[in-house]
Amino acid sequence: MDVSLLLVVVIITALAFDFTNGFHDTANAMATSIATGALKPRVAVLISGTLNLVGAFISTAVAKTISGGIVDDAKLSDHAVNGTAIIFAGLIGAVLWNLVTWLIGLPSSSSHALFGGLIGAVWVVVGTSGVHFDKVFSKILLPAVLSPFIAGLIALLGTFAAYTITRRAGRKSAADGFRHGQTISASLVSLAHGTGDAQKTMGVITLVLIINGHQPVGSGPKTWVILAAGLAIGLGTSIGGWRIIRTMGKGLTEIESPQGFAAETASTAVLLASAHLGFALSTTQVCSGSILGAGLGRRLAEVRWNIAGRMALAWLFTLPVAALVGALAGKLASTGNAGVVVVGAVAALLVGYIVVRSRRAPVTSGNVNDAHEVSVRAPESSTLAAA
Amino acid sequence: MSHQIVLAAAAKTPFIDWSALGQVALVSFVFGVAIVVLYSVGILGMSWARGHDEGGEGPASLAALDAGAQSGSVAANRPLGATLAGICFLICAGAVVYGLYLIIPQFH
Repeated sequence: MDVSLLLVVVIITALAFDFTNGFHDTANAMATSIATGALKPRVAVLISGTLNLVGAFISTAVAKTISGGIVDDAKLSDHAVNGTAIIFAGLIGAVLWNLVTWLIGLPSSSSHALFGGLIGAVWVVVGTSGVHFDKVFSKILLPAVLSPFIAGLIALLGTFAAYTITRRAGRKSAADGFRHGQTISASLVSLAHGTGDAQKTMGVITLVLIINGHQPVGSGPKTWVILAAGLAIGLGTSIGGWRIIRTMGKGLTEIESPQGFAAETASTAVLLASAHLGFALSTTQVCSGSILGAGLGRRLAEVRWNIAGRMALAWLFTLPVAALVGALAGKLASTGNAGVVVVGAVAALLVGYIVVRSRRAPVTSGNVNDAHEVSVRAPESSTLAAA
Repeated sequence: MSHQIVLAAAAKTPFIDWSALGQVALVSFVFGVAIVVLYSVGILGMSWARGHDEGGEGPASLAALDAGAQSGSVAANRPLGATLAGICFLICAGAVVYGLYLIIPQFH
Protein backbone atom coordinates (compact mmCIF):
# COMPACT_ATOMS: atom_id res chain seq x y z
CA MET A 1 0.00 0.00 0.00
CA ASP A 2 2.81 2.30 0.97
CA VAL A 3 4.44 1.95 -2.42
CA SER A 4 1.26 1.89 -4.44
CA LEU A 5 0.17 5.42 -3.54
CA LEU A 6 3.61 6.77 -4.33
CA LEU A 7 3.67 4.80 -7.57
CA VAL A 8 0.40 6.28 -8.77
CA VAL A 9 1.48 9.78 -7.75
CA VAL A 10 4.83 9.38 -9.53
CA ILE A 11 3.24 8.23 -12.78
CA ILE A 12 0.82 11.15 -12.71
CA THR A 13 3.70 13.54 -11.99
CA ALA A 14 5.78 12.02 -14.79
CA LEU A 15 2.94 12.57 -17.24
CA ALA A 16 2.52 16.11 -15.92
CA PHE A 17 6.20 16.70 -16.56
CA ASP A 18 5.81 15.29 -20.05
CA PHE A 19 2.91 17.66 -20.62
CA THR A 20 4.94 20.70 -19.49
CA ASN A 21 7.82 19.46 -21.62
CA GLY A 22 5.68 19.56 -24.77
CA PHE A 23 4.05 22.77 -23.66
CA HIS A 24 7.41 24.42 -23.05
CA ASP A 25 9.09 23.22 -26.20
CA THR A 26 6.43 23.95 -28.84
CA ALA A 27 8.23 27.24 -29.26
CA ASN A 28 11.47 25.56 -30.32
CA ALA A 29 9.97 24.18 -33.48
CA MET A 30 7.14 26.54 -34.20
CA ALA A 31 7.86 30.02 -32.81
CA THR A 32 9.52 31.33 -35.97
CA SER A 33 6.88 29.77 -38.25
CA ILE A 34 4.18 31.47 -36.23
CA ALA A 35 6.02 34.79 -36.18
CA THR A 36 6.54 34.89 -39.95
CA GLY A 37 3.01 33.75 -40.69
CA ALA A 38 4.24 30.57 -42.42
CA LEU A 39 1.66 28.75 -40.35
CA LYS A 40 -1.39 29.95 -38.47
CA PRO A 41 -0.73 29.72 -34.71
CA ARG A 42 -3.26 26.97 -34.02
CA VAL A 43 -2.28 24.98 -37.09
CA ALA A 44 1.38 25.20 -36.13
CA VAL A 45 0.93 23.82 -32.62
CA LEU A 46 -1.43 21.12 -33.90
CA ILE A 47 1.15 19.95 -36.46
CA SER A 48 3.84 20.05 -33.82
CA GLY A 49 1.73 18.09 -31.34
CA THR A 50 0.82 15.44 -33.89
CA LEU A 51 4.45 15.01 -34.91
CA ASN A 52 5.45 14.74 -31.24
CA LEU A 53 2.93 11.92 -30.83
CA VAL A 54 4.14 10.21 -34.00
CA GLY A 55 7.74 10.63 -32.83
CA ALA A 56 6.91 9.00 -29.50
CA PHE A 57 5.69 5.90 -31.33
CA ILE A 58 8.40 5.49 -33.95
CA SER A 59 11.17 5.63 -31.40
CA THR A 60 11.08 2.30 -29.60
CA ALA A 61 14.52 2.14 -28.04
CA VAL A 62 14.13 3.75 -24.64
CA ALA A 63 17.22 5.47 -23.33
CA LYS A 64 19.18 3.11 -21.09
CA THR A 65 19.61 5.73 -18.41
CA ILE A 66 16.94 8.29 -17.63
CA SER A 67 19.53 10.90 -16.79
CA GLY A 68 22.22 10.11 -19.34
CA GLY A 69 24.61 9.06 -16.59
CA ILE A 70 24.40 12.31 -14.63
CA VAL A 71 23.02 10.58 -11.56
CA ASP A 72 23.76 6.99 -10.69
CA ASP A 73 20.66 5.20 -11.96
CA ALA A 74 21.79 1.99 -10.30
CA LYS A 75 21.52 3.70 -6.90
CA LEU A 76 17.89 4.53 -7.66
CA SER A 77 17.00 0.85 -7.98
CA ASP A 78 18.88 0.04 -4.77
CA HIS A 79 16.56 -1.39 -2.11
CA ALA A 80 18.27 0.64 0.60
CA VAL A 81 16.91 3.90 -0.79
CA ASN A 82 13.46 4.88 -1.91
CA GLY A 83 14.22 5.43 -5.57
CA THR A 84 10.58 6.12 -6.36
CA ALA A 85 10.54 9.06 -3.95
CA ILE A 86 13.74 10.45 -5.48
CA ILE A 87 12.31 10.28 -8.99
CA PHE A 88 9.09 11.86 -7.72
CA ALA A 89 11.04 14.74 -6.17
CA GLY A 90 13.11 15.22 -9.32
CA LEU A 91 9.95 15.43 -11.41
CA ILE A 92 8.38 17.96 -9.03
CA GLY A 93 11.45 20.18 -9.30
CA ALA A 94 11.34 19.98 -13.09
CA VAL A 95 7.59 20.65 -13.39
CA LEU A 96 7.74 23.69 -11.12
CA TRP A 97 10.74 25.15 -12.93
CA ASN A 98 9.05 24.60 -16.29
CA LEU A 99 5.92 26.41 -15.13
CA VAL A 100 7.76 29.33 -13.56
CA THR A 101 9.81 29.92 -16.70
CA TRP A 102 6.65 29.58 -18.78
CA LEU A 103 4.95 32.22 -16.63
CA ILE A 104 7.72 34.73 -17.31
CA GLY A 105 7.87 33.59 -20.95
CA LEU A 106 11.39 32.27 -21.01
CA PRO A 107 12.52 29.20 -22.93
CA SER A 108 14.60 26.82 -20.85
CA SER A 109 15.63 23.22 -21.24
CA SER A 110 13.16 20.69 -19.84
CA SER A 111 15.88 18.06 -19.76
CA HIS A 112 18.12 20.27 -17.66
CA ALA A 113 15.23 20.90 -15.30
CA LEU A 114 14.69 17.14 -14.94
CA PHE A 115 18.41 16.52 -14.43
CA GLY A 116 18.52 19.33 -11.86
CA GLY A 117 15.58 17.95 -9.92
CA LEU A 118 17.08 14.45 -9.93
CA ILE A 119 20.51 15.73 -8.90
CA GLY A 120 19.03 17.63 -5.93
CA ALA A 121 16.93 14.68 -4.80
CA VAL A 122 19.76 12.15 -5.18
CA TRP A 123 22.16 14.48 -3.40
CA VAL A 124 20.07 14.78 -0.21
CA VAL A 125 18.86 11.19 -0.12
CA VAL A 126 21.87 9.19 -1.39
CA GLY A 127 24.69 11.70 -0.97
CA THR A 128 27.21 13.17 -3.36
CA SER A 129 28.38 9.71 -4.43
CA GLY A 130 25.14 9.35 -6.40
CA VAL A 131 25.86 12.37 -8.58
CA HIS A 132 28.48 12.31 -11.33
CA PHE A 133 29.69 15.88 -11.27
CA ASP A 134 32.12 15.41 -14.15
CA LYS A 135 29.14 14.45 -16.33
CA VAL A 136 27.28 17.51 -15.12
CA PHE A 137 30.09 19.56 -16.58
CA SER A 138 30.67 17.70 -19.82
CA LYS A 139 27.02 16.89 -20.61
CA ILE A 140 25.18 19.93 -19.33
CA LEU A 141 27.34 22.99 -18.71
CA LEU A 142 29.66 22.76 -21.69
CA PRO A 143 27.00 21.97 -24.32
CA ALA A 144 24.81 24.69 -22.82
CA VAL A 145 27.55 27.24 -23.41
CA LEU A 146 28.58 26.00 -26.85
CA SER A 147 25.33 24.97 -28.56
CA PRO A 148 23.85 28.47 -28.91
CA PHE A 149 27.07 29.65 -30.53
CA ILE A 150 27.29 26.76 -32.97
CA ALA A 151 23.64 27.03 -34.00
CA GLY A 152 23.79 30.82 -33.98
CA LEU A 153 26.78 30.99 -36.28
CA ILE A 154 25.16 28.61 -38.78
CA ALA A 155 21.91 30.56 -38.72
CA LEU A 156 23.82 33.83 -39.10
CA LEU A 157 25.66 32.68 -42.20
CA GLY A 158 22.51 31.02 -43.55
CA THR A 159 20.49 34.19 -43.09
CA PHE A 160 23.16 36.27 -44.75
CA ALA A 161 23.33 33.84 -47.67
CA ALA A 162 19.54 33.66 -48.02
CA TYR A 163 19.18 37.44 -48.23
CA THR A 164 22.17 37.88 -50.50
CA ILE A 165 21.20 35.15 -52.96
CA THR A 166 17.52 36.04 -53.22
CA ARG A 167 18.11 39.79 -53.38
CA ARG A 168 17.28 39.72 -57.07
CA ALA A 169 14.45 37.24 -56.84
CA GLY A 170 10.81 38.23 -57.03
CA ARG A 171 9.70 38.88 -53.54
CA LYS A 172 6.58 36.76 -53.66
CA SER A 173 8.60 33.77 -54.83
CA ALA A 174 11.06 34.39 -52.04
CA ALA A 175 8.53 34.91 -49.26
CA ASP A 176 6.44 31.88 -50.26
CA GLY A 177 9.46 29.70 -50.86
CA PHE A 178 11.05 30.42 -47.52
CA ARG A 179 7.76 29.90 -45.71
CA HIS A 180 7.34 26.45 -47.24
CA GLY A 181 10.93 25.54 -46.45
CA GLN A 182 10.52 26.77 -42.90
CA THR A 183 7.42 24.63 -42.38
CA ILE A 184 9.32 21.54 -43.47
CA SER A 185 12.37 22.11 -41.28
CA ALA A 186 10.16 23.05 -38.31
CA SER A 187 8.28 19.79 -38.76
CA LEU A 188 11.54 17.86 -38.68
CA VAL A 189 12.45 19.56 -35.39
CA SER A 190 9.06 18.54 -33.96
CA LEU A 191 9.43 14.95 -35.05
CA ALA A 192 12.95 14.71 -33.63
CA HIS A 193 11.67 16.26 -30.42
CA GLY A 194 8.98 13.59 -30.11
CA THR A 195 11.45 10.77 -30.58
CA GLY A 196 13.78 12.21 -27.94
CA ASP A 197 11.71 13.83 -25.22
CA ALA A 198 8.66 11.57 -25.01
CA GLN A 199 11.13 8.73 -24.62
CA LYS A 200 12.53 10.34 -21.50
CA THR A 201 9.19 10.15 -19.69
CA MET A 202 8.67 6.57 -20.87
CA GLY A 203 12.07 5.78 -19.41
CA VAL A 204 11.15 7.39 -16.08
CA ILE A 205 7.82 5.56 -15.76
CA THR A 206 9.37 2.26 -16.84
CA LEU A 207 12.18 2.65 -14.28
CA VAL A 208 9.62 3.35 -11.55
CA LEU A 209 7.63 0.26 -12.54
CA ILE A 210 10.81 -1.83 -12.47
CA ILE A 211 11.90 -0.50 -9.07
CA ASN A 212 8.49 -1.40 -7.66
CA GLY A 213 8.60 -4.90 -9.10
CA HIS A 214 5.76 -4.45 -11.57
CA GLN A 215 7.89 -5.44 -14.54
CA PRO A 216 11.17 -7.35 -14.92
CA VAL A 217 14.52 -5.59 -14.89
CA GLY A 218 15.69 -4.67 -18.36
CA SER A 219 12.27 -4.85 -20.00
CA GLY A 220 10.98 -2.15 -22.31
CA PRO A 221 8.09 0.23 -21.77
CA LYS A 222 4.59 -1.18 -21.76
CA THR A 223 2.18 -0.13 -24.48
CA TRP A 224 0.06 1.99 -22.15
CA VAL A 225 3.19 3.82 -21.03
CA ILE A 226 4.17 4.63 -24.63
CA LEU A 227 0.62 5.74 -25.40
CA ALA A 228 0.27 7.85 -22.24
CA ALA A 229 3.65 9.52 -22.64
CA GLY A 230 3.07 10.23 -26.33
CA LEU A 231 -0.36 11.68 -25.64
CA ALA A 232 0.88 13.80 -22.74
CA ILE A 233 3.66 15.44 -24.72
CA GLY A 234 1.48 15.76 -27.83
CA LEU A 235 -1.33 17.36 -25.83
CA GLY A 236 1.07 19.73 -24.11
CA THR A 237 2.52 20.73 -27.46
CA SER A 238 -0.88 21.25 -29.10
CA ILE A 239 -2.07 23.51 -26.32
CA GLY A 240 1.03 25.55 -26.91
CA GLY A 241 3.09 27.57 -24.49
CA TRP A 242 2.14 30.88 -26.12
CA ARG A 243 4.17 32.93 -23.65
CA ILE A 244 7.38 31.22 -24.71
CA ILE A 245 6.36 31.24 -28.38
CA ARG A 246 6.02 35.02 -28.16
CA THR A 247 9.47 35.46 -26.64
CA MET A 248 11.17 33.21 -29.19
CA GLY A 249 9.24 34.37 -32.25
CA LYS A 250 8.92 38.07 -31.44
CA GLY A 251 10.94 38.88 -28.34
CA LEU A 252 14.49 38.01 -29.29
CA THR A 253 14.29 39.66 -32.70
CA GLU A 254 11.77 40.41 -35.44
CA ILE A 255 11.86 37.37 -37.68
CA GLU A 256 11.22 37.44 -41.44
CA SER A 257 10.68 34.31 -43.49
CA PRO A 258 14.27 33.96 -44.85
CA GLN A 259 15.54 34.27 -41.27
CA GLY A 260 12.97 31.81 -40.03
CA PHE A 261 14.04 29.33 -42.68
CA ALA A 262 17.75 29.80 -41.93
CA ALA A 263 17.11 29.47 -38.18
CA GLU A 264 14.99 26.33 -38.45
CA THR A 265 17.40 24.72 -40.89
CA ALA A 266 20.35 25.48 -38.63
CA SER A 267 18.46 24.00 -35.66
CA THR A 268 17.51 20.90 -37.61
CA ALA A 269 21.08 20.38 -38.82
CA VAL A 270 22.62 20.83 -35.37
CA LEU A 271 20.04 18.68 -33.58
CA LEU A 272 20.17 15.81 -36.06
CA ALA A 273 23.97 15.88 -36.23
CA SER A 274 24.32 15.97 -32.45
CA ALA A 275 21.79 13.19 -31.88
CA HIS A 276 23.37 11.05 -34.57
CA LEU A 277 26.95 11.60 -33.44
CA GLY A 278 26.13 11.03 -29.79
CA PHE A 279 26.77 14.49 -28.40
CA ALA A 280 23.30 15.44 -27.26
CA LEU A 281 22.50 19.14 -27.17
CA SER A 282 19.50 20.88 -25.67
CA THR A 283 16.77 21.61 -28.24
CA THR A 284 15.86 24.82 -26.46
CA GLN A 285 19.38 26.17 -26.43
CA VAL A 286 20.05 25.22 -30.05
CA CYS A 287 16.83 26.84 -31.28
CA SER A 288 17.32 30.01 -29.22
CA GLY A 289 20.86 30.32 -30.55
CA SER A 290 19.62 29.90 -34.12
CA ILE A 291 17.05 32.63 -33.71
CA LEU A 292 19.64 35.04 -32.31
CA GLY A 293 22.01 34.18 -35.15
CA ALA A 294 19.25 34.77 -37.69
CA GLY A 295 18.60 38.12 -36.07
CA LEU A 296 22.24 39.11 -36.40
CA GLY A 297 22.47 37.81 -39.97
CA ARG A 298 20.04 40.37 -41.34
CA ARG A 299 21.59 43.76 -41.58
CA LEU A 300 20.16 46.30 -39.18
CA ALA A 301 17.91 43.72 -37.57
CA GLU A 302 17.36 44.44 -33.96
CA VAL A 303 18.34 41.82 -31.41
CA ARG A 304 16.93 42.53 -27.99
CA TRP A 305 19.90 41.68 -25.86
CA ASN A 306 18.07 42.32 -22.61
CA ILE A 307 15.67 39.46 -23.41
CA ALA A 308 18.54 37.27 -24.60
CA GLY A 309 20.36 38.06 -21.36
CA ARG A 310 17.35 37.17 -19.24
CA MET A 311 17.09 33.90 -21.16
CA ALA A 312 20.76 33.10 -20.54
CA LEU A 313 20.23 33.85 -16.87
CA ALA A 314 17.29 31.42 -16.79
CA TRP A 315 19.54 28.73 -18.28
CA LEU A 316 22.11 29.41 -15.59
CA PHE A 317 19.49 29.00 -12.86
CA THR A 318 17.67 25.98 -14.35
CA LEU A 319 19.87 23.34 -12.79
CA PRO A 320 20.47 24.86 -9.32
CA VAL A 321 16.86 25.91 -8.74
CA ALA A 322 15.39 22.61 -9.95
CA ALA A 323 18.00 20.86 -7.80
CA LEU A 324 17.00 22.90 -4.74
CA VAL A 325 13.31 22.12 -5.23
CA GLY A 326 14.17 18.48 -5.94
CA ALA A 327 16.26 18.30 -2.77
CA LEU A 328 13.52 19.72 -0.55
CA ALA A 329 10.87 17.52 -2.15
CA GLY A 330 13.15 14.49 -1.96
CA LYS A 331 13.86 15.00 1.73
CA LEU A 332 10.16 15.28 2.47
CA ALA A 333 8.88 12.57 0.12
CA SER A 334 11.30 9.92 1.36
CA THR A 335 9.82 10.19 4.88
CA GLY A 336 6.76 8.23 3.79
CA ASN A 337 3.22 8.61 2.52
CA ALA A 338 2.51 11.75 4.53
CA GLY A 339 5.58 13.42 3.06
CA VAL A 340 4.54 12.46 -0.46
CA VAL A 341 1.07 13.87 0.09
CA VAL A 342 2.51 17.12 1.48
CA VAL A 343 4.91 17.50 -1.47
CA GLY A 344 2.12 16.72 -3.93
CA ALA A 345 -0.27 19.16 -2.28
CA VAL A 346 2.28 21.99 -2.10
CA ALA A 347 3.25 21.41 -5.73
CA ALA A 348 -0.40 21.39 -6.83
CA LEU A 349 -0.99 24.67 -4.99
CA LEU A 350 2.01 26.28 -6.64
CA VAL A 351 0.91 25.04 -10.06
CA GLY A 352 -2.54 26.50 -9.43
CA TYR A 353 -1.04 29.79 -8.30
CA ILE A 354 1.16 30.02 -11.41
CA VAL A 355 -1.75 29.26 -13.72
CA VAL A 356 -3.92 31.92 -12.00
CA ARG A 357 -1.04 34.39 -12.23
CA SER A 358 -0.70 33.73 -15.96
CA ARG A 359 -4.35 34.68 -16.46
CA ARG A 360 -3.64 38.25 -15.43
CA ALA A 361 -1.77 38.88 -18.66
CA PRO A 362 -2.69 35.92 -20.85
CA VAL A 363 -0.91 35.15 -24.09
CA THR A 364 -3.03 33.14 -26.52
CA SER A 365 -3.00 31.99 -30.12
CA GLY A 366 -4.92 35.17 -30.88
CA ASN A 367 -2.49 37.71 -29.46
CA VAL A 368 0.83 35.85 -29.58
CA ASN A 369 2.18 38.03 -32.38
CA ASP A 370 0.81 41.33 -31.08
CA ALA A 371 3.67 42.22 -28.76
CA HIS A 372 7.17 41.11 -27.99
CA GLU A 373 7.05 41.28 -24.19
CA VAL A 374 5.49 38.76 -21.85
CA SER A 375 4.35 40.70 -18.82
CA VAL A 376 3.84 39.39 -15.32
CA ARG A 377 3.18 41.54 -12.31
CA ALA A 378 4.98 39.65 -9.60
CA PRO A 379 8.56 38.40 -9.92
CA GLU A 380 9.02 34.65 -9.89
CA SER A 381 11.11 34.79 -6.72
CA SER A 382 8.01 34.73 -4.52
CA THR A 383 6.85 31.42 -5.96
CA LEU A 384 10.32 29.93 -5.74
CA ALA A 385 10.76 30.94 -2.14
CA ALA A 386 7.50 29.24 -1.31
CA ALA A 387 8.65 26.05 -3.03
CA MET B 1 42.17 8.13 -30.12
CA SER B 2 39.13 5.98 -29.42
CA HIS B 3 41.25 4.03 -26.97
CA GLN B 4 41.92 7.21 -25.04
CA ILE B 5 38.23 7.99 -24.97
CA VAL B 6 37.45 4.63 -23.45
CA LEU B 7 40.22 5.04 -20.87
CA ALA B 8 39.07 8.48 -19.89
CA ALA B 9 35.48 7.36 -19.61
CA ALA B 10 36.46 4.42 -17.47
CA ALA B 11 38.54 6.62 -15.17
CA LYS B 12 35.54 8.92 -14.69
CA THR B 13 37.77 11.95 -14.85
CA PRO B 14 36.26 15.20 -16.08
CA PHE B 15 36.35 14.58 -19.76
CA ILE B 16 35.15 16.43 -22.78
CA ASP B 17 34.71 14.58 -26.03
CA TRP B 18 36.17 17.35 -28.16
CA SER B 19 36.26 15.24 -31.31
CA ALA B 20 32.54 14.44 -31.10
CA LEU B 21 31.79 18.08 -30.45
CA GLY B 22 33.96 19.14 -33.37
CA GLN B 23 32.23 16.64 -35.63
CA VAL B 24 28.81 17.89 -34.60
CA ALA B 25 29.87 21.47 -35.27
CA LEU B 26 31.39 20.69 -38.64
CA VAL B 27 28.66 18.40 -39.97
CA SER B 28 25.85 20.70 -38.87
CA PHE B 29 27.73 23.68 -40.25
CA VAL B 30 28.13 22.10 -43.68
CA PHE B 31 24.53 20.86 -43.83
CA GLY B 32 22.93 23.89 -42.22
CA VAL B 33 24.56 26.44 -44.50
CA ALA B 34 24.56 24.33 -47.67
CA ILE B 35 20.83 23.63 -47.51
CA VAL B 36 20.00 27.29 -47.02
CA VAL B 37 22.27 28.27 -49.93
CA LEU B 38 20.79 25.59 -52.20
CA TYR B 39 17.24 26.44 -51.27
CA SER B 40 17.89 30.15 -51.83
CA VAL B 41 19.37 29.44 -55.26
CA GLY B 42 16.30 27.31 -55.96
CA ILE B 43 14.04 30.22 -55.05
CA LEU B 44 16.07 32.51 -57.27
CA GLY B 45 15.73 30.01 -60.12
CA MET B 46 12.01 29.70 -59.57
CA SER B 47 11.71 33.45 -59.62
CA TRP B 48 13.53 33.55 -62.96
CA ALA B 49 11.33 30.81 -64.31
CA ARG B 50 8.24 32.78 -63.36
CA GLY B 51 9.67 35.89 -64.96
CA HIS B 52 10.30 37.95 -61.83
CA ASP B 53 6.92 38.01 -60.21
CA GLU B 54 7.40 41.44 -58.72
CA GLY B 55 3.69 41.86 -58.30
CA GLY B 56 3.97 43.52 -54.95
CA GLU B 57 1.76 40.86 -53.35
CA GLY B 58 4.52 40.10 -50.89
CA PRO B 59 4.17 41.39 -47.36
CA ALA B 60 5.57 44.80 -46.54
CA SER B 61 8.00 43.25 -44.08
CA LEU B 62 9.98 41.92 -46.98
CA ALA B 63 10.89 45.42 -48.03
CA ALA B 64 14.51 44.36 -47.89
CA LEU B 65 13.93 42.28 -50.97
CA ASP B 66 12.27 45.12 -52.85
CA ALA B 67 15.39 46.79 -54.09
CA GLY B 68 16.51 43.77 -56.04
CA ALA B 69 13.19 42.78 -57.49
CA GLN B 70 13.66 44.43 -60.85
CA SER B 71 13.03 42.57 -64.03
CA GLY B 72 16.01 41.81 -66.20
CA SER B 73 16.20 39.89 -69.45
CA VAL B 74 13.44 37.65 -68.28
CA ALA B 75 12.66 35.39 -71.20
CA ALA B 76 16.22 34.16 -71.68
CA ASN B 77 16.45 33.08 -68.07
CA ARG B 78 13.31 31.00 -67.88
CA PRO B 79 14.52 27.52 -68.87
CA LEU B 80 17.74 28.06 -66.94
CA GLY B 81 15.78 29.16 -63.90
CA ALA B 82 13.48 26.16 -64.01
CA THR B 83 16.40 23.75 -64.32
CA LEU B 84 18.29 25.43 -61.52
CA ALA B 85 15.25 25.40 -59.24
CA GLY B 86 14.54 21.77 -60.07
CA ILE B 87 18.05 20.62 -59.22
CA CYS B 88 18.28 22.66 -56.02
CA PHE B 89 14.87 21.63 -54.66
CA LEU B 90 15.60 18.01 -55.52
CA ILE B 91 18.79 18.07 -53.44
CA CYS B 92 16.92 19.77 -50.60
CA ALA B 93 14.21 17.10 -50.78
CA GLY B 94 16.97 14.51 -50.59
CA ALA B 95 18.28 16.20 -47.44
CA VAL B 96 14.81 16.04 -45.88
CA VAL B 97 14.58 12.34 -46.65
CA TYR B 98 18.04 11.85 -45.12
CA GLY B 99 16.85 13.79 -42.06
CA LEU B 100 13.85 11.48 -41.74
CA TYR B 101 16.19 8.51 -42.09
CA LEU B 102 18.26 9.84 -39.18
CA ILE B 103 15.22 10.52 -36.99
CA ILE B 104 13.39 7.23 -37.52
CA PRO B 105 15.32 4.39 -35.88
CA GLN B 106 13.48 1.66 -37.82
CA PHE B 107 15.47 2.69 -40.90
CA HIS B 108 18.83 1.77 -39.45
